[in-house]
Amino acid sequence: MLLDPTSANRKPRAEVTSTSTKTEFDPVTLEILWNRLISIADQSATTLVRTSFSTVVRESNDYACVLMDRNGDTLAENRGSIPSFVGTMSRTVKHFLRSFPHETWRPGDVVITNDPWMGTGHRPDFSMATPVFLNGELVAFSGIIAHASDVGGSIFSADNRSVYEEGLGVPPMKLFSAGEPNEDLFELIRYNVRVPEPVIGDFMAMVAGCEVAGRQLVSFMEEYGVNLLESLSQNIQSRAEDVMRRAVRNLPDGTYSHTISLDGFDDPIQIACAITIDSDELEVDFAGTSEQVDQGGVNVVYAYTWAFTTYPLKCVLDPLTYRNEGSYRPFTIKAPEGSILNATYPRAVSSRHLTGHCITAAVFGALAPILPETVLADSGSTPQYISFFSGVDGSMRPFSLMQFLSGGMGASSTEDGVHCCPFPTNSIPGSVEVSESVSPLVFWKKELLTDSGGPGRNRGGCGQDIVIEVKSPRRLELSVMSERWNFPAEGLSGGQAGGRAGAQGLTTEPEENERSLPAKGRTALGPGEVIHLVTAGGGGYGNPKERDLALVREDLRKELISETAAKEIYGLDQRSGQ
Amino acid sequence: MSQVRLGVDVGGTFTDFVAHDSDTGYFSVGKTLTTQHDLSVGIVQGTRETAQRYGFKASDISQVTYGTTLVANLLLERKGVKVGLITTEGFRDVLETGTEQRYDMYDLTARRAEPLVPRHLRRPVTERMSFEGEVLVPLDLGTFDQIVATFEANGVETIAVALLHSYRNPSHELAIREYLSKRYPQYTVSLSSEIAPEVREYPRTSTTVANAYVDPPLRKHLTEMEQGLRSLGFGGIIYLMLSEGGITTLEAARSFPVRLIESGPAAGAMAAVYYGETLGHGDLLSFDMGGTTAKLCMINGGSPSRTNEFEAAREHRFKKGSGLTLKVPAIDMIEIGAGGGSIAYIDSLGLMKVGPQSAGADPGPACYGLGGKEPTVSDADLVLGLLNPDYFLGGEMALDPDAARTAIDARLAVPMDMSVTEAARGIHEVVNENMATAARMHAAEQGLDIRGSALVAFGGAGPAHAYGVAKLLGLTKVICPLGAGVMSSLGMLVAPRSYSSVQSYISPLDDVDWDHVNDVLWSMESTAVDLLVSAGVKFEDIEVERNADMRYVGQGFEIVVPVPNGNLGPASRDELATAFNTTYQGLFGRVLSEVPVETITWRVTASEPPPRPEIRFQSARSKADSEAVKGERPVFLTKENRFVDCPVFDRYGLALGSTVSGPAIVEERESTVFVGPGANFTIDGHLNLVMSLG
Repeated sequence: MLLDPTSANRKPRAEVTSTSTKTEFDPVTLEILWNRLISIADQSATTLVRTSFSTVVRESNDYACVLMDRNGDTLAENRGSIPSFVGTMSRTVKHFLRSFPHETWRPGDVVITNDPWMGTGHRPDFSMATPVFLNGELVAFSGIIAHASDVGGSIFSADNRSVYEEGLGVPPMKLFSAGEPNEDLFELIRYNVRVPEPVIGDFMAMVAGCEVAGRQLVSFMEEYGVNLLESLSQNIQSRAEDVMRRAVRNLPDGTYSHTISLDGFDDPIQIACAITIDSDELEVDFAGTSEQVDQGGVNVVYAYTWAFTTYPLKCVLDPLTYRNEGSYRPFTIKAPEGSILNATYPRAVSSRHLTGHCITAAVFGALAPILPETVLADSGSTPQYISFFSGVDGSMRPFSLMQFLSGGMGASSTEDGVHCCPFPTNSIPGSVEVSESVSPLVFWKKELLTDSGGPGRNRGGCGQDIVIEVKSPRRLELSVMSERWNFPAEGLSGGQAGGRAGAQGLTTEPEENERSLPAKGRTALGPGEVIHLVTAGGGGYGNPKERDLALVREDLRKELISETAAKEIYGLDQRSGQ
Repeated sequence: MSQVRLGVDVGGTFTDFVAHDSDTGYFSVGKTLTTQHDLSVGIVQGTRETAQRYGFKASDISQVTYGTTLVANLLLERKGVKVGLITTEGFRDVLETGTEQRYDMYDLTARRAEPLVPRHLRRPVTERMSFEGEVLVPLDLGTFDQIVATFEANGVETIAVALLHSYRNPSHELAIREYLSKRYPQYTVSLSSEIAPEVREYPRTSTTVANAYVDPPLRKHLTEMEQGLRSLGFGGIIYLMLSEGGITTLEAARSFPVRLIESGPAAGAMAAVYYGETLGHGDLLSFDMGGTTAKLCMINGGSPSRTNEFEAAREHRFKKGSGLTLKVPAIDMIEIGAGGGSIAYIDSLGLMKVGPQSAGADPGPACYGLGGKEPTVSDADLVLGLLNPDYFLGGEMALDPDAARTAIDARLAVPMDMSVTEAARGIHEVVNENMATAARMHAAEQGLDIRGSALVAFGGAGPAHAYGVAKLLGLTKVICPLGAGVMSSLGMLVAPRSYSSVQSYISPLDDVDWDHVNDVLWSMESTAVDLLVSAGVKFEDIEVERNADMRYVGQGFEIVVPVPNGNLGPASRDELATAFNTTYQGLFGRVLSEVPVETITWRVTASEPPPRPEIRFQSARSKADSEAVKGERPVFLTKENRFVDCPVFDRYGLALGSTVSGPAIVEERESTVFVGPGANFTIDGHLNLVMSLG
């Protein structure tokens, strides 16, 4: 067995407790060093974002930059990422270490994978790590996860039957070996994706981001030493853990359950969520949740379930602490293997967000009885509505365009829901003018939809109404990934549900001037065809008959609600007379 | 007859004046309280006082250059006028939904900035352009009378028009203005195709609406100010400082008021450029630390970094995305919530944080003795011996060291189990680290290396923290100009007359219609040049700079690439491709040879060479050399980890050229310079204090 001087020097983890670390760091040093470490991850992110091609990376923060110790345990993460990737990079690097043991890493190595079960839950996301060496010793890893512009296979869609249809799979492999590109792997990827340049360009952006962080981590360690790096992170994590435990302890012990229903692919899906508070521990159990499905990529791998369970918990229990693993230690999250929230290989998973985002709604629903002032009513933007267009433009050049469409957010005990706002993710559509300049589409409408915000004392945010015409000379392919057609976002505390989502095609053929589009699936659109997409509204909070009449009149004046709704739901006339 | 140029900087509390006399070459400074109810009152009064004090007449003033916070404040305080917005049918909510993004991932109560125009005053019209500027649906003027009736009924005072793709074809917007001006001449009309002719409907609409929102009050103010100055006998030209760091005529500023959004801070950066130049330094980090915030600006090769998008009036001042997006050319500054009044506290994790909450001016830091109980950066600086309790604002205000100690002890030292000194040192270090982190991020975002830069420190708290910040960033030179308190107004006198124009034209580089590009560039150039000539700039002095925002096809971020002057043609394709690759390589360290490049937006700036007066202050050296050393006092030194007696110098008594080794304290009226151990300083010929760090 090889002796590892680095780990021999390191303090055993068990010794680093919140009492022993107090002597090592004062609150000022800790603040300064911790900030510096996060800013290293942030600079890695800046490099990635500025050079990336993928719209979801640039505009939707669909990435994460993570610094890890030599075992893959997280030291720090960048500040701005979306919740999907919380905790995944660390697990991925531990998988890497199984394929590539410590002693095999060389400076300039880059290892990559897009395996959903080792990584983030679907193939478009690539996880990458590079080793960080100090004085010839492997001391840390710098990692980045980012959503690639394309991964081959079927276009991004919800109607696949297995992961094999969902694009090229890359097991943990070296993209670079000691600084030399693995040309075979590059060639294989180029050959398999529709738009090789942006995909490879994104890989290079990720490499650049990892390198920036690696270099700065080295100078940090040269100044302070490796030991400090790890005890620093341990110290922060134990402090964050303490804060979260205090927050959990403030909740009444007991088990709180809530089940939500979703349209699903063929059959409705139930997410059953039971939250048990026991002193300062919080367990979430999804027992009773629907089985995974054979048809449709709405299955969720456990890592993604974990990420979207911890996210709403952090929002309501400790929104202020910069995210780090310590915050999540008081949580235990269980999802039965083979359920739709812990899907097994080789189930189709590419549209896992359609189920996974909704975990947020189930968690809020379960917590509503004990945190009625804090949680939101269900949001129409949960899950994200995605439409993906692919074909050729007027010059017969290939194009593809992904549109993230937001519904309305749920109302809270104190405020109306935000109109047209992604939640729990933060992906955005970008400008209509830019979309039209890169695709043969004309957007005729993109506007808030009257009466779509769930009625309540506080109204849910409105969804939107989108009308798009195909100007391509050829048929193009549309993939719709949506939910909330049959089960709208529910209200809370007497508030009512928001409006439902939908999608229709208005064809040029006179005999069939309207047709239903699939909620989850692909369809061909002919030249001149006009489609009409509707996103769901957010749920309301409290009895609508108790809504301030001045606000009801204001909503009416702004045409956010109709006269009928003002009268019949909010009782405008009747209450004005009183 | 002497010729005096006057710079006026209206801030929240004070209105500052700097006059430069072309005969004597002297600068003289003045200060008066800002008159919030009517800013022009203070401006006129201060001008009269400054003239009297320094013995010139208002009629001697050849130009007044004015930097104002009025536009920023109108937006921040929502005190503009009621605007009616006309949009393309189907896109009534662009202004309200914005980018749709949440600006805080974990805060469920975060709300977008309320739109400046409520939904019922956003009225759609039937019309549509394609992205190539073809009319897909002709404009229907038939509904306008009804729309205007709605506006009238709701008390709308001005109208903004923002139609889809109007940056490519403005004809519908122009037709609307023509119709409105004929039938409803009482309304001023802001068109998005003139205010911000750039692709992306939300920022363009937002900018146009903001322009309309501040237009009537700004016009009124400028008219009153001009009348007031004229009534003093002033017969010269009035210029306004633009956010981009150039100055322009009153008339031009009136047509694009939103471009004045960063008028005051931009002047500070221009002053830093000037100070750097006097020392032969083109690479600078300008560091302006005041009472509530600090502003940092990178200056590279003598030009400040610029941005074409600015966020105003944030709901949460330091949360990106919580404000109104404006497409205006501006000097790119980062604002950090850390100034002398910033409050230090212990967060939920038990870590010490500083800012962004500020004790403001009232009650202010605990040491002001006005009842403030929270420990602030100034309290820490006082405890550490950096500030002199008897010489704050030149002795006009006594500071209370005991109150500072008490606040630090109660709120920080006791809970953290530290001494008061350790906690004070912590505040000082945390705030310095915040500045350094922000500077590093800002440099990283622009692909710039900060290490060769000199730090130009100003603002009330800047010089006391400059040494620490420079140390953290590995900078070896710090410049502290004399009169740091009026530095912004000096920027007014060293900024060039200039004007920028912009026009989006999206095209792959291989398919560019060069005739169209030439038309666009020449038209922008002649507008800008005419404007400068009418402002009195000699034609032969005008320099024109052209740029294009370009990117790889498929990328979402554009980079600014220099474009050669003269007629462009097919041969320009390779030239631009090379320029793009060079710029891209500089920023990101690599290029992608296989990916095609596209142009998004074209920009033209015309300017004169900046005025470069010699820096000579009238009354700068009021003391004799022998009075330079005021004494000594204990100052806490980090490395020694104890208080060490350090000499204290009077800035006004220091002789030119002498070199003094740190540690030392140099006091002037509005600020205190801390020169740490291992550093030394000298006073140069322009009365700058120049610190060298080992």
